[in-house]
Amino acid sequence: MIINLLKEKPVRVTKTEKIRRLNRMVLILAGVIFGILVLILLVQYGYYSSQSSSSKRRVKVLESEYLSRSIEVAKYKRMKSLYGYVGDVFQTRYPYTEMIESVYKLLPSGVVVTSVSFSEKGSMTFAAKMMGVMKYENFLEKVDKFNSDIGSLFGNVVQKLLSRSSSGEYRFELVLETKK
Amino acid sequence: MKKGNITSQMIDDKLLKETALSYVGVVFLIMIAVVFIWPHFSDMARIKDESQRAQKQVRDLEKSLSTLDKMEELISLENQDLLFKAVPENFEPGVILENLRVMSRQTGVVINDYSLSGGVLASEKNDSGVRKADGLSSSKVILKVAGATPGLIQFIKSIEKSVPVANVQDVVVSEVSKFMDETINDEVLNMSMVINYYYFPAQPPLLAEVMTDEISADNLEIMKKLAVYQKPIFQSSGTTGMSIGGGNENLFGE
Repeated sequence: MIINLLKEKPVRVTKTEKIRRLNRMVLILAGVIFGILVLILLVQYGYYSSQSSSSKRRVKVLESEYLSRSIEVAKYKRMKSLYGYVGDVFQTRYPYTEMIESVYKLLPSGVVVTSVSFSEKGSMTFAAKMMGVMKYENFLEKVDKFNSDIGSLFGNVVQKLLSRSSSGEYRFELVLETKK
Repeated sequence: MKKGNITSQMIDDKLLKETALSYVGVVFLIMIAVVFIWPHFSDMARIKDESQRAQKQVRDLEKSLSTLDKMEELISLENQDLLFKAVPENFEPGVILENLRVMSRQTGVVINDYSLSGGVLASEKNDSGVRKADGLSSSKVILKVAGATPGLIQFIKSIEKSVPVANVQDVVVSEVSKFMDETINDEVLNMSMVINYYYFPAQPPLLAEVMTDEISADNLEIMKKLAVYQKPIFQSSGTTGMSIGGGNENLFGE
C-alpha cells in the first residue's frame, strides 16, 4: 500500500504542477492582452485627442485669418468665375473679321464689296461689283491660290451669281465655306 | 496520516480552487474589456475621424490662405481691375454706348441706329437680360453702322479687343441705298450686328467654402490675352451704370 502511494505521488504532483502552470499562463496571457488593449486604447486616445485639439486650435486661428480676409476671398472667387466666363466668350467667337479680311485682301482695286452675310454652319456669302469681267477673273485666280495655301480659312468656294448690268457693271456672289 | 503531508484530496481541492480563480479572473478581464474597453474603441474611431477632419480643415485653410497670398503675385492689381471690368457686375448701357461711339470715331464708321435689351436700373436691381444657369447674364446691343469695309473690319476688331468683353453675332453687311442720296460713296456699306455684353452680378462670398482651386495656367493665358485689350475710355461712376461722358455730344457723336 505504501509502495503504491509512493509510486503514485510524483505523477499526481507533476500533473498538478502542469495544471497550475497552465492556469497561471492563461491568467498572465489574459492580463497581458488586457494590458495591451488598455495601453493601445490609452496611447491612441492620447494621440488623437492631442492631435484633434491642436488641429482645432489651428483651425480657429486660420479661420479667423480667413474671415478677416473675406474681401480678398470674394475677389478671388469672382476672379476664378470670371476667368471661366471670359474663356467661354473667347471660345464662342465667330471669326467674322478674319473671314472678311481674308477675302477683302484678295480684291483687286476697283472691286467694291456690296454685301457680306454669314451662316451658322461657317460659310460666308460675299457679293461685290466691278467694271469689267477681267477683274473678276483676276479675283477668282487669287481666291484659288489663297485656298491652296496651307492654313487658309476656306475649303470650298462656290459661285452663286455673276450678272452684268446695262451700264457694264458686273456683280458676283460667292459662297465661301470654311474648312471643317 | 502525518501533519504536513499532502493528500491527493487536498491537492485536488486546491487545484480546483486555483483553476476556478484563474478562469474567473479571465472571465472578469473579458467582461471588463467588453463592458469598459470595447465601447471606447468605437469612441476612438470617432475621435480619429474628428482629428482627421480637423486636419483636413487645416490643410484646406492653409491652402486657401496661401492661394490668397499668391493672388497678387500671379495677377497684378492692374490686371485684376482689367478682369473685373471685362465682365462688370451690372449691365452698363451708358458706358457701353459711349465706348462704342469712341470706337466708331476711331475706325471711321458712323453709328446709325442702336437698340438695347436688358440692363439694371439704379432703382430696381432685379435680374434682367438673359440669365444663364451659372450666374452669368448677357444683354444684347443691336447696332447698325455705316462705313468702308476696312473701317467696318476695324470696328468689329475694336469691339472684340476691348473691355468689357463682348461677342459679336449676326453680322450682315449690305450696300447703302442711293435712292435718297446719290452722292454716297460706293465703298460705304451698312453693317448690322448683335453684340452680346456680359455681366456677372456680385454674389456674397461663401466663406464656409474654402478655395481649393488655384490660379491655373489656363487662367493666366486668358489674363495674357486680356492684358492687351483696350481699356474702357468711359467708365462707370458707380453702380448705376451711368457714364462719365465728355462734352455735349450725343451717343452718335453729333
